[in-house]
Amino acid sequence: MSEQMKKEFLGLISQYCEMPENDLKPEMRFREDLGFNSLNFMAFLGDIEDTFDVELDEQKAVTLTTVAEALDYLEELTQEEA
Amino acid sequence: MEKELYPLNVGQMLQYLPIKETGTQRCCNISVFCGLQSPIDFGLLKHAVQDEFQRADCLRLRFTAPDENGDVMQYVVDHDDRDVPFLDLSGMTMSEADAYLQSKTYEEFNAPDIPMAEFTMVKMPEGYNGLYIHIDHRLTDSTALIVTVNDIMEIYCHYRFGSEYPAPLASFIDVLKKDLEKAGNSKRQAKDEKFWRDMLTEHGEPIYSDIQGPGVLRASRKAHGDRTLCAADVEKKDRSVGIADFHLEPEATQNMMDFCMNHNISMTNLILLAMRTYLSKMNGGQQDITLRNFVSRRSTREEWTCGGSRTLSYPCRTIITPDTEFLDAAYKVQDVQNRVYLHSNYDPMKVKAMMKELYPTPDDTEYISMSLTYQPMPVRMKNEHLKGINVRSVWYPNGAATKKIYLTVTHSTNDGGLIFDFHYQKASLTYHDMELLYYYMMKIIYKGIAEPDMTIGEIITYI
Repeated sequence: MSEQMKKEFLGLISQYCEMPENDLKPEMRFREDLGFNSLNFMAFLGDIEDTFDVELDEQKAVTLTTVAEALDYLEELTQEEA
Repeated sequence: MEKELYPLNVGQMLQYLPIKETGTQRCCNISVFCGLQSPIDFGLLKHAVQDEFQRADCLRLRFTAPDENGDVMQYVVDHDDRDVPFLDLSGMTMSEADAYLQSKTYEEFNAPDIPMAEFTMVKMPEGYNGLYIHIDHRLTDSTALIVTVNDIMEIYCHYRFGSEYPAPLASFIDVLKKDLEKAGNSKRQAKDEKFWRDMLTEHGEPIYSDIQGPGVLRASRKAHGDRTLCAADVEKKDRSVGIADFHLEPEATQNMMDFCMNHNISMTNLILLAMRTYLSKMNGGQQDITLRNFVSRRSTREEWTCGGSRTLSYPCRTIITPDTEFLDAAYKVQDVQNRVYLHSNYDPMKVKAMMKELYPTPDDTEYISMSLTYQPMPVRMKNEHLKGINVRSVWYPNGAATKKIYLTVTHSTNDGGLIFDFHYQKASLTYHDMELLYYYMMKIIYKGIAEPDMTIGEIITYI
């Protein structure tokens, strides 16, 4: 995944929480550490689809727990698209 | 300079629809008193309110006159330097003062290009001092109103005690532009449309359920001469509203929150499960239940503080068999809700139209008798200088119940317990019906939390 894409992804997360993108760590959990609830997590997934033009598998996407897992999944999807 | 006009967003449109249908703006009013049981410097409070008008562009929204289709546009004026009037009701009893403010709730904002929000400083009985806010729902929803009140009190504390001035709020117009851009994303629209069509056809036509039992649907079937009708008539003539408020103690509330936390279930879904289980009980064990859930679509930091109305509502249909364990049933509700949330950019009015196209029921009939809003954000005086002071917040109904039962669940400002606020149509329901509904909902939740592997059928039998 390009640095630009990673930066864009972290920027997207930081729009949803109080954490500036530079302070986000891969091991951070969306719910417990970043304060996501069901609604904003699902809205965030929708934003990922729109921003990176990918199609998420909803069943898989809802099981994503950490920033690193979400990044890995996005990388997997963008490689498939390519 | 020519004013820049914008269409309403989907949430605002949903609020505007009843105005178009009923011809009265009153059904779109929100009115609330929020005050502290403490002396207040009203001069500084006025200053804080005037600052808020400048900080929050949503408070400066105006609407144009309706066009030939009845649609309106909106724009923001640069300044609103109106005075903030003062009202002394301290010589009345609390119920007299509430009745007075209740009567003001019916006042309409019934002209184009006028201010749609009125803030009044009020001295209430029992030493409460604060603000009465009377505002059009398109300028704010309950979440945004709480943000506004909290922000005003932070500004007041800055002037009164020298605490830090609060950070700027997001611009309503900037967020509106993003919303409109998203709404125009054809790929997203196509995905959402497919989702809703699949969702609405997956299990065929839904079926109405009512806390008054299957007799309600039977009566509609008889009235329409259709034995297979699945939707019941909506009360349109008498929309007078009754209110029933119940307070759940902090300890019981904490048990619910712990259960939600431990099992990764949201409070909304737990309450929806209790509502649907009671409907199932009252309708001979009916497994197919549809409720309506209202969500304030505020996910990003900007969306939290931009004001406006972002409340949308969608049907929440679940089919739960009696042998399903309570916890699994909660996950079933959650699964449906999660999928709905992912597609909650889609215009709810289009969902309604799609439903009508798929299942052409008679006009003014509905599959849904109960609606829910869970409001996780309390009016909270978080400033150090206001800690420990009793807060009184009262939401005055606008007098028009467009839903048969509308439950709003909030957290009490003073003790953190839950407040269950039922608004019901008095034409067919009584306060006692709401007492029973609340009593059984609590019984279902307590039993389910204590024994999450108990089945829904067993819980229905037990209660």
